[in-house]
Amino acid sequence: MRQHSLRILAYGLVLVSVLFPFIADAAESGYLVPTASRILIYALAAVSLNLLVGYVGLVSLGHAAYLGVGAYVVGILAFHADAGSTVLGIPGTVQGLLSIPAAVLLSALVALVIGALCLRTSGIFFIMITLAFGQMIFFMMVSLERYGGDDGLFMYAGPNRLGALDLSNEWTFFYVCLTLLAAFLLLCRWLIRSRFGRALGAIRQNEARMTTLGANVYRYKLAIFVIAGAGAGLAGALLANQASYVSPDMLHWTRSGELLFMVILGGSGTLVGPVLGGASFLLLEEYLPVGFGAAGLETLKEHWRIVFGPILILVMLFFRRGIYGLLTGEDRS
Amino acid sequence: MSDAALLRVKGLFKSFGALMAINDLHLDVEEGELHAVIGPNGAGKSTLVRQLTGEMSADAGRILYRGRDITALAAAKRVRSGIARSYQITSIFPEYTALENVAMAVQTRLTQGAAFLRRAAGDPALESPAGELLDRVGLSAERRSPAFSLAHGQQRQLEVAMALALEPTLLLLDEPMAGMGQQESDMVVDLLSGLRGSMTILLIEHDMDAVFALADRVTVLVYGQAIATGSVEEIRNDPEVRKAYLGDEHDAA
Repeated sequence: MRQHSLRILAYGLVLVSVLFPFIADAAESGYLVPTASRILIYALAAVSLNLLVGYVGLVSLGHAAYLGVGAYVVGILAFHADAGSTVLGIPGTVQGLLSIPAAVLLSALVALVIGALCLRTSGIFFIMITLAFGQMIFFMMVSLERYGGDDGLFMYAGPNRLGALDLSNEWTFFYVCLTLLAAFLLLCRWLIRSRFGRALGAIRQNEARMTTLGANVYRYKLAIFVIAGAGAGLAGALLANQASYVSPDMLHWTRSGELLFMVILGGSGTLVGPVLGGASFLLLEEYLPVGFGAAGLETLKEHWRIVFGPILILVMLFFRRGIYGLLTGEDRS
Repeated sequence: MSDAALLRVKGLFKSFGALMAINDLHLDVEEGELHAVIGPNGAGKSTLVRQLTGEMSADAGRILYRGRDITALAAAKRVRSGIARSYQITSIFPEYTALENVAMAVQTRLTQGAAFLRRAAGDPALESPAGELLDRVGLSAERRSPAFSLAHGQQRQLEVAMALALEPTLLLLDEPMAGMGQQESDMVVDLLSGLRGSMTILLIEHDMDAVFALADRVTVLVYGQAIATGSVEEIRNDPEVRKAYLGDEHDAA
């Protein structure tokens, strides 16, 4: 029964995603395609965070930092391409085949440094220190006057080109996001099923026992921390391309909190849960105020978060595996 | 003090506040022997095991393993040099099946480099040795059961299988029979006597019948000190041991 509903859910999601631009177009709602792309990007970020939260039990409250680093790499490279200058001796570029891998690489590197320090701690200390590092990167970006500081950085040349693909085309961009999300999900599935993934699950269940089995727990955690950072960096690079704009907002700790919400709302420790969580979160955020407006509830339209908050709390209280558990009935176990 | 000592503990100390848990402890465990450590509750037996595995540091003193000072060596490295343990309080991976628990232990011993990326489930390199170990400890029927659903005694058997999966040179067993029924206990006693000679075992145990049936040598620990070491016969007849420990037990029984 569970396997069955899982499969239907998976096929349904794939079908709706692949056909979405056509469906939206047919319904004369083509303007929804960028919204859908945004959902895919946040889903990617949430999936990457879930590698830590759901599979290893590492609650990071600084995950937006890697999102921001990825976005700023794309933004800064575009800035220097426009100005014809260099950054650290590297010329700027608007070629996504260069800028996006660079974004992934640099966020992985930042995750390596931050992870190497944070993973010396555990529990509440880990949460606080990831938060602190996240905010440190946030203030670093704020202080980069050359790249707009507080105001952020516009990419005047528009989104990158990706080889021959033009990312300013909404449909092209949507399918690029969808492909990358699918590829990342497959990568995660492979990792989780590997010996490495089994060790991560064992660490979540009983870290002390893993140490006395002779495993270097720290290295396992650092490896997955870097992979998660790289995933968020990829999402950040896409986010920059969507808006042609990057700002320190992307790195604020509240953004990290939102990513954490998406993971838990959708179902932590499940592969597609964070995708569902990301989609639900962004849709609620977008349509709750609209809905209240349409219903003539002006006060609620303005203060829609009063309703949004309790919804999140209720889902977390009653569905341990979030929306995923709700849909598959896995929750009752 | 023979030169064959695999493990040598010299003047070990550990205090928790005012309590001296381990107080100038000396202990030699020789290669290939089954060495039991007995002692009343609070004698420092579990503290000793934790210090031997590196889970707990020593305040003073030295631990020599194969003549090498390992007092400051990290826990995971000690495991890789051949020291494995089982826990008095069950310590397993509750969500994994019995087979996966043992396979996890096999994996930490075997896996290096790119092998980490191999699929774990159904891998015969992990599961066939794991399955054999489950057979040996008497858990053949529970291969696919999640570890949390096993009975307490079965979880203890699983513990022993996990420790054996590391193929240790020195196996530290912290009260492996605690909480087991008679039948399961007998099974572990059989298992341990079968292991004799193939590895060195330091057995911490309350069950005197098991200790006297199995041990080559026995050390009696009282207030963190080894008050006597000798053969089963010597320990049984040692007046000081009788006074400190065995006398009470026998009166109670």
